[in-house]
Amino acid sequence: MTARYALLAALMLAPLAAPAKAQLRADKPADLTQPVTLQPGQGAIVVGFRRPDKPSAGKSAKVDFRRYDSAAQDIVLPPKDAKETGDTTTYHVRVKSAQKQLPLEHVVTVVSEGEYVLFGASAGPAEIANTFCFGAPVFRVKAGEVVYFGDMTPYVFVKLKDGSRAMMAVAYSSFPEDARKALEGRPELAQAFQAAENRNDATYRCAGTQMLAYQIPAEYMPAPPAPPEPEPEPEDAAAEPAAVSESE
Amino acid sequence: MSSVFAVLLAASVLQPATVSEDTAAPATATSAAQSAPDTELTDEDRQDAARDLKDSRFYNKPGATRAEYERDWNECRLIARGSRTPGGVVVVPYNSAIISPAVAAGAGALGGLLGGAIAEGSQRRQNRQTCLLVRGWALVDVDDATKKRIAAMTDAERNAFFEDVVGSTRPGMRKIRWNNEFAAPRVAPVD
Repeated sequence: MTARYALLAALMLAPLAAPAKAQLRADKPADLTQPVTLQPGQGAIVVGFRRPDKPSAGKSAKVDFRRYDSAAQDIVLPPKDAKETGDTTTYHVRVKSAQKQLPLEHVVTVVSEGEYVLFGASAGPAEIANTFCFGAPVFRVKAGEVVYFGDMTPYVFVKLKDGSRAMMAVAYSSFPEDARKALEGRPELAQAFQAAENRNDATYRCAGTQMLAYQIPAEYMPAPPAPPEPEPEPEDAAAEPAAVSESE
Repeated sequence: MSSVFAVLLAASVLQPATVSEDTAAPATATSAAQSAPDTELTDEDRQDAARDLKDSRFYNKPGATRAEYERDWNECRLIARGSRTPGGVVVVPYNSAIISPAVAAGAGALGGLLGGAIAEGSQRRQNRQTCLLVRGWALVDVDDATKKRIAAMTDAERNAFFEDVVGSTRPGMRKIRWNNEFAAPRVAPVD
């Protein structure tokens, strides 16, 4: 009987003793009805799905992010033995809208810290078959941070102002205050909330049927840092001898 | 059983050629990319680039040279094939499923057909065109009068014409430029 209890206890404790589950691909949204705990080395990405007009109403969308290495100008792929070694790095993030009837929804996905680049997106039921390898926004998620990327608005076969139609578009906009409010019910996330410092034009290897560039419009880009204040000239600068004099 | 097979078959056709963690890179993934050698273009490369300099279409970037056009065209061809990154890094095909849309789709027989069609067909040309447009080139929408004029040129005249026109600053050419339509579509207002 004691042995049976010991076996039961061992089975119950086994998951706790096992290494952290690999999260090579993060595709499950955080359940915001429950407290969300970020483990050490983890942050979160917030994506809004905004449907402000008739063409976008009722449309679903999917967005892919990939781990990025700015120095190598390329996405980072998981090592072959990542699962065996219990690698907990997030290499691929898939964010899907869940309630397409809503004019606005926000999806939170827990990821490991690091740089992420927008990799592809689709509107409607179609799978993601494009890649923004010719230039895409990239941003960093630090441990403990809940980073708002932006809002995505799905369009399918939408009529454009010039009379033509776009087969698909996933428009970008940024409304961080709306996202912040959406997380008010989860104070542990709300207090770590911040808007991403997106940077355009990150390129990487092209691996998708349709190769595109995706630029966040200038109106949504963070303001460039102010230029440093010039250091005041010392009052007696004119009297100072030249630091280097030419030899005759 | 047959329905399961049908579903699997359909899935293989519909599966997009995107990077998959199931086909993960080896542990040396980061070493799979090398700096692109600064290679000279061959005559064949130049002839290939000239395929997009014709009476019905050609590229223009004010101030650019024919040599710059040929270099960009060939780089974009390699990028569209998946053998070079837009950043200029040569991609070694350590895992073909991650590199080439064509090969990625070619894992199965039907996928291969689809992948082949994509690789050899209009999608690859479209990707090459997008690459050039993103680099600042504009595709000139040639009017009928100019088409006739180019068609009537000798090879030497045509060559001289394109030497000049790829970098021409002349106004009046109708041009197709890259626009950020996927991220910022100019949606028509709906009543």
